Amino acid sequence: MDFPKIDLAAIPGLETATGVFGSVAQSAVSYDDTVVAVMVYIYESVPV
Amino acid sequence: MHVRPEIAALRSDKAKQARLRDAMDAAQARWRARPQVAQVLADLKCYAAGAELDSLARLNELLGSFEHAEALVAQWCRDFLGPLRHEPLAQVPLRHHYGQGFATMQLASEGGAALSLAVYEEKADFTPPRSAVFSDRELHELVLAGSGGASIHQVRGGHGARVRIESERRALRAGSRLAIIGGHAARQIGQVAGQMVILQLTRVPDRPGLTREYAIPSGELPMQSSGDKRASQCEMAMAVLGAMERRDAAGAIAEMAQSGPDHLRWEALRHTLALDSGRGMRRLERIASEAGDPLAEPARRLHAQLLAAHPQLADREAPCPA
Repeated sequence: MDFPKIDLAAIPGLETATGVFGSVAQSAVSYDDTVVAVMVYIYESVPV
Repeated sequence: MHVRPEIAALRSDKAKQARLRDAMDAAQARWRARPQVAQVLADLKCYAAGAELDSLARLNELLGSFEHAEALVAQWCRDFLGPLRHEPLAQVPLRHHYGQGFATMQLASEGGAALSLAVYEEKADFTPPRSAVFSDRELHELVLAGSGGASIHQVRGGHGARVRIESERRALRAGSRLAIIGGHAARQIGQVAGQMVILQLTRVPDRPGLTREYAIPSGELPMQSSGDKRASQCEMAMAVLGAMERRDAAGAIAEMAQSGPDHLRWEALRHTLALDSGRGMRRLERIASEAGDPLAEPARRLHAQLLAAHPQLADREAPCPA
């Protein structure tokens, strides 16, 4: 049988959303000292 | 964009680029080969493999003794600043970063462990933070120079969207030590006088738990994110394959809904449903029927919601293993 196409946007996420690695807001933080982790993440994701 | 003439000249001079690279690689090799450094690096390897810090004499001594730490860092400065004085445009072949009052230089790394120097600068516009980031890692620090303050936060109870947090302030000066272990503790550097230099040893587990940002002092959770970069890489790969409508990836993505962090499994489920609703429904039913699976309840709700929106999904044959 033909299954209907389900729109991704119509499928809810979990109650508590979880951002990708390194995506904590840091807006209220005095020193952004988690930046190293983000940098490592990019280095290891992108072949250089 | 303004490019200084000496940098423009270097861009077109491949031979000089190679010379500078060789000079810095030689500096690094020289530093790493120094006996006291080599012993620390050997310990760092064991630490990355899971050994406890207090079982590693050299590394423990380094983080516990101002004199040892200062000597190691002074040696690093001598080995790297020497060539840099002759060739200021050479790049230090180590991960480093500078911005917004914070600088870091990763002296060495092994697996999930790293030994770094961090510099916190006094900020004229310093405002006390309203939240703190709790990440699943082990952090040992020794202040090498300068002074400042830190807040140590501990999650003492509660879970999910609200926890109880106890905080204490610590005055830091040369020789001060801090140890923050696991995702239920966090430290924040507060106001710094001038500059404060810290030697940091960090270790991240193979499969780190979530990173959570809690409001201080209320303990509310404004945001959480994955602490595992491999899980996030998978999540992004799924998003790309989904956007490309790669139906041929649905089987591999459906497999990822079976185990791993909850948020990653749920994303895998969403993408499987969007790419191949028949396969997605079978996987959804399987998860919904697993007593004890933390995703069973949301899976049951989603199942009901999808059947209401697409009644023809109910006409499928009896579920078979996905």
